[in-house]
Amino acid sequence: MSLGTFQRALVDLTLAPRKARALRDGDESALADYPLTGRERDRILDIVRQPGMSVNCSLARGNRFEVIAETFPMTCVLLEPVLRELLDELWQDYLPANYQLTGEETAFAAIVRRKTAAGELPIEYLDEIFAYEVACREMTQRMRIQPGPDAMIEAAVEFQHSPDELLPPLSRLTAPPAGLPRGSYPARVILRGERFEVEILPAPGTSARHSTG
Amino acid sequence: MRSFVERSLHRLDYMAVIPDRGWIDRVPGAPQRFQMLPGAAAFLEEAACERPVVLHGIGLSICSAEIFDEEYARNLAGWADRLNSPWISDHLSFSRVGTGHEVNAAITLPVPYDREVLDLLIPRVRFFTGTPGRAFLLENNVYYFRYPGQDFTEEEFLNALCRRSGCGVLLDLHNLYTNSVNHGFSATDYLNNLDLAHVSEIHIAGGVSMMGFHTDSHTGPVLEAVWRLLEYTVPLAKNLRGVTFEFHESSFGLLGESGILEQIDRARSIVNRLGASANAVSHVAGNISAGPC
Repeated sequence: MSLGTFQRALVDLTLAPRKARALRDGDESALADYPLTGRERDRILDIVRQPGMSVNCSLARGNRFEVIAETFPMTCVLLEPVLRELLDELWQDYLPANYQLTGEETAFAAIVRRKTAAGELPIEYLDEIFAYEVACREMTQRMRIQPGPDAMIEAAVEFQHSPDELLPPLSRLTAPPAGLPRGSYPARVILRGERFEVEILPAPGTSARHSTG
Repeated sequence: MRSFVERSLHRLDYMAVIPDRGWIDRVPGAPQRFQMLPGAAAFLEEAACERPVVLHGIGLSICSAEIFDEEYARNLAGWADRLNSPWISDHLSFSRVGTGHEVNAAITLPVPYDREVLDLLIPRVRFFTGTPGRAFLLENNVYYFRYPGQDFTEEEFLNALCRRSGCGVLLDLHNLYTNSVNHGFSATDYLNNLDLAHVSEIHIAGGVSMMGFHTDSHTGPVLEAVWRLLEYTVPLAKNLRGVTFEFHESSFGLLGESGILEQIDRARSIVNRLGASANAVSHVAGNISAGPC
């Protein structure tokens, strides 16, 4: 089906800006896998030379990132110096498979998990904030399918730095201060409706405190 | 956002929602593929008791050459039945490609306005237009590039599609404005060439500039140029049933509740002042749009 092939070529180029740029610059090998009619080929070559193609590519990346940033906002703040390269690497292999873009966050979590395990992301606070947001994501997914406005879900998370110091700036999408003292901060994360609370579990002889989520 | 809509529903004449935000869609062919989220279902059913709820889908990708997702279409139509929706709409565009393993563009892409695409669409539209009392509308899409050598202009294509398939037009005036600014044509000429008798719903919205283009971001208030297009169109659209203010939930803080309601009230005053149709109802917001729409 030629129109289908044409549409596939256009989608692939939208999701691979480098490929679109190479084609624009004359490397027609990018079209080798698409049996196109002459008219369709001419159209693709015309389109990649239009500035609007770059806008399309950027908007597609923005839409994909929006899904990730909604789920892992704090992780993205901490990853900011390497985020662009990380997303390039992720999206080189992973293509969105549905209109809800639901796989984006899973694929992002997988690459962060793999790289942190390999020691490739030596970023202060990343491990514990990522673990916290993974827990929040799982709770949110459970809450979405759980009826009742008064539903409550809990999860345990272990911080290595004080959540009181980490979470308030990150919830405003700013980096926390560097060099916070390490320690053990077991916490209970509670989701009530759409609101998260973090209860820092008491050290011996003290009572629990609430932080923001 | 939800509490705002619940508080403000009485200020609206109908509510347009993106139903895809309210369900989990497992892959095509999966058993029990669609799972409506209980909170969303309850919200929509309660709202539908007070006001008409119209469904504005983002997942049909009706112009995909290789895919016509009948499971999706049946699910959408089923929800329209359940909510007694007076109309359903989606976009004149595609985002889904592939056979077996699907890939999504993460943005709605335009189709060339060719005879081949027109012939592809007509039986698909008829899937929806067979339900008495419920219209099916397709929205003119925003596009950032243009296809050279098309068989039809967009207006000619929409006129022919409506005439041959029985669908209506969801005329997005912000998309039209965006396209006219980015590609240097007259939006008024476009409106003069479009058979406005096919227009059942109008969208208005705000947008921002990016990389030298005006984009359809659905952020902020409606642009003055779009208000002027609305004033031009409303008297000519004899079968207009409603005007919808679209806003992205990220702009909720930017506009505030009063800012959103101001947009709706201004649109209502234009329809009441200039509307040609005795059946015209006025407008609603609540179209909480996710990225690719």
